[in-house]
Amino acid sequence: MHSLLTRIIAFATLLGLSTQSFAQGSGLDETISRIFEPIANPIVNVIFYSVPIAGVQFPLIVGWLVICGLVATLFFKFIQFRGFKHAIDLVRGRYSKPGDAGEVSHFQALTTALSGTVGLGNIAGVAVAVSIGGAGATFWMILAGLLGMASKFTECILGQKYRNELPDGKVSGGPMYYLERGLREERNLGGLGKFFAIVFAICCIGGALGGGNMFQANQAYSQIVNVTGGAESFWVGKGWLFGLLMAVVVGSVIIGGIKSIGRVTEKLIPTMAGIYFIAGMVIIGANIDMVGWAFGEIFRGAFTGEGVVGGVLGALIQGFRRAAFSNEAGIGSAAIAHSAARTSEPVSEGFVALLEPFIDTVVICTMTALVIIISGALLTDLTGVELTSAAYATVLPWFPIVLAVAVVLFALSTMFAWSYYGLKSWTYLVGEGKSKENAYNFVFCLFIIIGASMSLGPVIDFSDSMLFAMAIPNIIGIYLLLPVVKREVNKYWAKIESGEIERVK
Amino acid sequence: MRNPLLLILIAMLLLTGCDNMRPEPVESNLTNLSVEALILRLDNALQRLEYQQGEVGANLGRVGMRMELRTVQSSLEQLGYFNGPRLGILDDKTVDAIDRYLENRTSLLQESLSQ
Repeated sequence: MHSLLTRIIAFATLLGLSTQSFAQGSGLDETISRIFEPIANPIVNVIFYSVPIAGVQFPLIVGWLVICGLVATLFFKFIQFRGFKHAIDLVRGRYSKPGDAGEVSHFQALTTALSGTVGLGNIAGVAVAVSIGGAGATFWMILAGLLGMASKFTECILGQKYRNELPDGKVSGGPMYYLERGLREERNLGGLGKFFAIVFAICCIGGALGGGNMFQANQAYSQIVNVTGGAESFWVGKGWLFGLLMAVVVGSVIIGGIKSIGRVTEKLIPTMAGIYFIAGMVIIGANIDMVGWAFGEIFRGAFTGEGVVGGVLGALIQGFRRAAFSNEAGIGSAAIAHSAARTSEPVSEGFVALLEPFIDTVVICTMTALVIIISGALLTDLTGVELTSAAYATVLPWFPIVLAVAVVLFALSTMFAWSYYGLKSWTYLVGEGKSKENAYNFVFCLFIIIGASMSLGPVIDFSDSMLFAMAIPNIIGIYLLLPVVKREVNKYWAKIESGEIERVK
Repeated sequence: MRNPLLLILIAMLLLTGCDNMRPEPVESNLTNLSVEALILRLDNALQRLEYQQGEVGANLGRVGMRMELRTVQSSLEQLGYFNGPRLGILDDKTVDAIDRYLENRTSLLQESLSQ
């Protein structure tokens, strides 16, 4: 306990010193933005290489994610619908045996993965989607959520199948492992697999620092400014200070492993999600007469694009993009968390995983979008968490304060989960070791300060690019290993039908 | 019930026929900016977009850049040059509004400073 405390104090001092050195000049937030943006811009422009289609710049990476969802859906004959009930049964523990290998239960793995997916993406990301994609972006977001169920099913089965079980009972899994081992064992492409695994691990560290960190810190800070006086707030221009405080909190938690993350998130998620969900339902209930109109706007916007040339494609891009950011299907991150689940059947974890895009995108993102549309907040030029906050405040004027607390908690839980994903990638590249892990943790915490200091636009671009870059090697691996997954799924169904896998409850 | 897809399609058609129940816009600090503040926002956003003669140099495939363009549209709307949906898409209407604004920018600034 004493050594832990000493470590945290040393860590906070180190972080404090590193920001102090910047703090000599005025406008530290601006200084950080000025330094970081020119470094990030070339990376962002490469990942979001766009081609003009129907009057809109279409980023090819978005098409890459859409096609993966579509291919997985067709290849597994709409598994997201056929296997939905079975997935619910698995989460309820009806097929769980106490002796199965792994660190956490199906339910814990689901909550760990959800802590990385249900968060600011649902609150602030949806607001960004509808503010620049119009109400119609919601329709494409839902469709992306449904397609994403099949992608996630596939990648999580692979994560389980090719995970590393260590002698101490710990497990390490994820795209790094299935790209390397899977391609070597199944396709005799060991060299290529290793290369993709390294690329993925590098991208995953970037994803952890971007979407799993900077975006979270940025939007949590934005909401704190919003509820503490807006332009008059003490916090204006002090993003670095807010980031420093968050970095100290995160730094003190991420020293633990998956078990502690599982425990923290298991406690936080139901409360946070519950508050947010109930408030959303109250607002929808208070405006129940407008729900039909709101859905009409969603469908109309999806197919007419508000009458703007390129509007349909613009809405589609934003819908798919924010859905991917929120549910992370095809990105590969969830495969890391799900690989730790206690099960001897990789396919069963795939079924559990396919529930995530449904809960995350089809249910929670749609609810947020509905609240924004029916509240009238969409007609302002607000965006991000400020837009969602304004929308909720139309019915519950006190809610922005509750939302600020929820947003900070969501941001923290997402950071915990993503720090784990990033750490797993880091140790894959450099090997296990306390000092190596601490070096990663320090950099992770430093990026919290950077994220909180910058404005939303550059942060969301960097976060998206880092996160979506992970999809490039991951989806290539998925395509090459689809037959393996199919074989596993067929074997699994055969075991269910023969009674070899039986319901225990 | 035997064909849920058909049911969804019918529901979609019915819903798009709903009466116009568009709510009143919510007031935000950004809707009460002074002309100078709006001009400053526009100048910054146009600079980031690298706008020149009806084209932008920035990659509009990036969310951040579409948000900048939306800021431009919103500011132009408040100045009375634009009345289309603010979707961050560079269509003819937006280009026309930007060009008209740039033509009048100096006089607009002088006018607001003299008041």
